[in-house]
Amino acid sequence: MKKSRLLAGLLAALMALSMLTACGGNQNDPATPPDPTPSGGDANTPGDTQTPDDSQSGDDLGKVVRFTMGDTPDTFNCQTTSSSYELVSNWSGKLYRYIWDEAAGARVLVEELADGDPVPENEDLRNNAVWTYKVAQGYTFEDGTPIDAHTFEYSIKMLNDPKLANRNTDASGYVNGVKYLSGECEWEEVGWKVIDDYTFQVTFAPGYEPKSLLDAKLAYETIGTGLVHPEMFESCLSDDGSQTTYGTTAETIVSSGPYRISKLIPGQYFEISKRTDGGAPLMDVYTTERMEWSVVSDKNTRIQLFEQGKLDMVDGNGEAFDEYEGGRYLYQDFTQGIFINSISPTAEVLKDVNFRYALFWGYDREGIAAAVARTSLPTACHNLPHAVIPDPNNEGESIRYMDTSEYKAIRMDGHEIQDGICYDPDLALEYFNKAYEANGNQKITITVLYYDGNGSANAKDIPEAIKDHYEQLFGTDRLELALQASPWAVMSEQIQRSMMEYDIALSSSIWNNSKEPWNSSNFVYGDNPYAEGTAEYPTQYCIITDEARQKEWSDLYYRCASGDLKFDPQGTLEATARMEEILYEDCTFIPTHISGTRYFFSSRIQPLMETGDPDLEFALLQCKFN
Amino acid sequence: MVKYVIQRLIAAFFTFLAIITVVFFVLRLMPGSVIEPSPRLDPAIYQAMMDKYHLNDPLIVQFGYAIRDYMSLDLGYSLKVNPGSPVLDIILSRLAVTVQLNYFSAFVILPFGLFLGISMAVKKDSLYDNVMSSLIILTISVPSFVLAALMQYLLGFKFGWFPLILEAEESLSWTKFYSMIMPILALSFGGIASIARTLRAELAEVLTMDFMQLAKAKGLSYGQTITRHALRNSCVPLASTFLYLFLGVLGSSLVIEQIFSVPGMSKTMMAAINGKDHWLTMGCIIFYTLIGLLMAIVADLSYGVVDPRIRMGGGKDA
Repeated sequence: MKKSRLLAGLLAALMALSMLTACGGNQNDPATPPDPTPSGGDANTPGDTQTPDDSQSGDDLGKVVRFTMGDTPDTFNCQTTSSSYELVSNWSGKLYRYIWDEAAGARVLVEELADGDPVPENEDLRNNAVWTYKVAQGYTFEDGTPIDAHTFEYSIKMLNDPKLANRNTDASGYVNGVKYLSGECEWEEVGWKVIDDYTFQVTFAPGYEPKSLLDAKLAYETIGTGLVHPEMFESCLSDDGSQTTYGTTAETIVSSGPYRISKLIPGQYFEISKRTDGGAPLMDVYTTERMEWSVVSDKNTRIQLFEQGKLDMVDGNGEAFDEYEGGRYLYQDFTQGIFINSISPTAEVLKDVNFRYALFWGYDREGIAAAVARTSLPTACHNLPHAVIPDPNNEGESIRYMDTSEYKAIRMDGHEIQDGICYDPDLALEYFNKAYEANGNQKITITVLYYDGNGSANAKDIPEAIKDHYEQLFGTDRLELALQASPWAVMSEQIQRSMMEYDIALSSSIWNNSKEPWNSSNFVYGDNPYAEGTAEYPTQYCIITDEARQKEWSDLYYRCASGDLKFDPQGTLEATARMEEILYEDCTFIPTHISGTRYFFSSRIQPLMETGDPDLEFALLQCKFN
Repeated sequence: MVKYVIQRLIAAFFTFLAIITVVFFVLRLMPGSVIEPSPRLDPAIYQAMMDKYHLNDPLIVQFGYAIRDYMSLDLGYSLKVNPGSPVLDIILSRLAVTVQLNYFSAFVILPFGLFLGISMAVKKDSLYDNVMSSLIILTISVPSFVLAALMQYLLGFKFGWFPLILEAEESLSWTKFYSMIMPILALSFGGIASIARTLRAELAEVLTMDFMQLAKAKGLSYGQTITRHALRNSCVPLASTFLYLFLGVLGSSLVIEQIFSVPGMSKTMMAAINGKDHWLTMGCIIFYTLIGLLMAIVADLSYGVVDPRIRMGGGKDA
């Protein structure tokens, strides 16, 4: 009896509590806005997006920028991170760092922890492998530990430690670096020496010698060369030295950059604050006092939060957002496109270059982008349309690669490609008819592999648009494309050159370097003849079908990277154009577009640029506050 | 009883071993690269990483390494989701909020489920019973993520009664609890419906039995006959339902976690599976397997507690 009453009482209390919590008012809850629906529209409509709730705009927040991320950073350790390079740079000080120069309207490389420019041993850079770097005095970690050349030595040594096998190693660049990485020599034998407390000297490995002052600086701009705190790092090493927990939590990282991690709830919330200890670099460059990220993976929730004035930036790519002003675009430095497996045993027709040309000229880049990828940039170019190279005719100047006569002279089977769109249905049909005839006038059926977008509802949009477009163009009675979705972890392996288990693959891309448009290692064959100890990249994708073209392409690549063309701007330009022409001639990768995202910003902040930079994005650490 | 528990523990151990063996090989046989591919990844470091994690060794050798580590209670380190972090630390850091959510939802499910089940059984075939039964069918039919999204839009966005996402506070405060109400409710609807439905059916049947007439004849009030006799007899299937429900809620909160930005276990496990972070995936699976096996044992033992006529591990003459 007593127990029953106790149970009944407990149940009643719980029910009452549940009722109370469910019905409780929120007038005193600062997290809940009094009027969250300024426009009263649907959360997915831009009518709401254009007018975030100013009552919650956070004017009293000060110089704080708030937005969302897919997940908190995988690690804070600059030596192991595989993404978020720019983010990790905020607490991992390096010698040099890119910032946005508003006056120039471009990103510029500035000294972060360096004292001036590196100095070559030999002024003739063609015969120089040794560079001397100076570390600026007075900078410290956030706990006051001084930063000097020894700190850099420790960081670089641990970066290339053979037991740790860090992802972002730069061992290949130094004399004996690869040997050290594989445990075949001691650190003292590596081309990396401390000269005095604030000076160190680097001997670059053959083939990796910087060809310019900029290159020498860039060697110490990469994320792997960020500093680690020696004492903390040692305390995080496992007994056998093969694992480190450095940077796996906010407590195991000590900032050497301009910002420090001020709050972290793994998987939910992340915050960095500008350092105030007096030992941080670039304090006069960055304006934002604090940056806050909430992890929100649902698009609708992001938009609702933006409308409630709880975010300062939100992405809005859908058609519903087209008519609204204030959107700024960010384009990736990847060229998206169609991978064609020209050696597929299950689709013999792909071996026929006429069929591949038909797909190239038959792709309605602008039409498909307008229909299903509205914020992307349609392009038929292998290299980034905004790629900039040294001007061969004006030393020290740059020129847009696509403006050069070498680019304009590129032909694909005799046809010009310089408009950058290359949609010609008649020409495509002409090629297709030849391929169809060669196929014995039999219907062509091909499986098209595409990334499932991790369950994203839009993942199928582009594949379906491509399928419909090609089938309509060439006739459903003559061509059938069967779509097959795949998780990225699986697909990325299937499309690797070592496997090539696909016919046609979509949702794939070729990484581009806007400063060195020739520099896509995706198509390289064989080892570097100019450098020791390098091996073929294990993750290359497309195959250049013709062996002579393979050889020519690789030869040009290595000559530009490490050989005789390295110091020859005109030769590099000609090689770049020829390499691109080879890719057009072979046509196993069909460029389609460059992915872009449209962002809207709250009235609190004012980004410095209209179009974002692929690396710096909108440089919100430097933004202005209204 | 003790013998029975020992037998169950031994069986659970072998079940556990079988599960992790199968999962290990299934995971490793899945296509896809463990080391995240990138054209920018140095070939030398790619090989070094493959060697470091024994990924170049035969699968059976890799299994040997894994079992050796597990025997020494070492779940290893995450390779992709949180590179360098001990798997156990990741699980523990994500477990707290999952346990909080499920604990609170259990405390919503139990009273509401019991109340609805009892009241519907007592008022069987009345208008109230029919309306509530329809609502329960609706709740079971509509996926929890639809309800969650609707709640978020209406209660969180339109009416502004609740925060749209979980409050970013490390410890459990009133503000954080308040922001958990929507995910708790979203997790609870299915459980409430399940318990109410089962209890209604069991209780309605028990209420018609002869011993209920006897209880009334003894002079017990209607309420006493229900709480002392009918309810206890109806609770035997409920014991296992509730415990497995808890397990189900623990595993099925992925979508809820995504919608309300809850940094819980399900999200971590999905990231591990998608990213082919085998060490973390195995850690999560080991966690869920252990919870599942423990729940199964507790559920079996609870039968004897709820209904003393059921004896555990008794001989044939019992």
